[in-house]
Amino acid sequence: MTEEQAAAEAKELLADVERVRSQARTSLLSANYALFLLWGLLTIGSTVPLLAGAPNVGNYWVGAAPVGALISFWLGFRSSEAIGTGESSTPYVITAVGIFVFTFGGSALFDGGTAIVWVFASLAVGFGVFAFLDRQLLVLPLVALVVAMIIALGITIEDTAALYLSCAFLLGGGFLGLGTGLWITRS
Amino acid sequence: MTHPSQDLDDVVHQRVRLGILAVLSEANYVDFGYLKEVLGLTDGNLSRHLSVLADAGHVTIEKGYAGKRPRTTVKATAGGRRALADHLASLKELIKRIEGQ
Repeated sequence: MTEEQAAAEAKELLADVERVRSQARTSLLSANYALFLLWGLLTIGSTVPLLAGAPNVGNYWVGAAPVGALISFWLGFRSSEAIGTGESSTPYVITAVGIFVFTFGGSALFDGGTAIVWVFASLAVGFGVFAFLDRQLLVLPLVALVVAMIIALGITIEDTAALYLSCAFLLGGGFLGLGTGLWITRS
Repeated sequence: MTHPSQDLDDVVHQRVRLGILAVLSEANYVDFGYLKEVLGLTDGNLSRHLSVLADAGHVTIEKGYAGKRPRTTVKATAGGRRALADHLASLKELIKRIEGQ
């Protein structure tokens, strides 16, 4: 084999490796489309009590967050069984607990707009950690952009109800968009 | 200085085995059926290549059940992940060296 042939074969092997890696990555990420749709719906759903005139959305999340977490674990388990690839669940459980501690802890520690920005930024960062665990590094700049937009909304919008609605539509819409995109990729 | 082709690991330097390690590097574990489908292999062919990788300590194979259904899962070991990374680096070095001549 000449050196040129060896280089051509090496290039072909590298291209093959990248192809199967990206296929596996897409399978793993697209398996999580239901999680994004679920949390997108829950986040957008949290605007309903506020739009209906409820004084705050704390009660909604006390019910919705644990239910969402339970459904998420079931969906995660089911998708890894269905597609035949998966991860150790420990880092995911730690991240989920971290999201709960940061969101509920932040909403108890802070008031008004700061609490809202903290909660939504924690949710976005939490999903960024999930993406990192799934080695979906391309999602991370998107998470950074959403966090920056949430902080910018926190600085510019003074009315807490308007701030909550803006953050919920931004993050919830982002989750729904990503979930729909992954669902389309999958099918 | 040795020629980069001498750094190529014979166990890993094979299209199917490289593909297996590449898929395994993306997940904690992978189902036998998923590997078969993504790499377009038959049961026998995949089993043969997995045995070579397992004998070299690059993968571990676990047989179990998902409910009542038998299930075989494959994992890359730390050595297997390292072997893949080293091999890809050697391939890139080989290309760089030949094209740089």
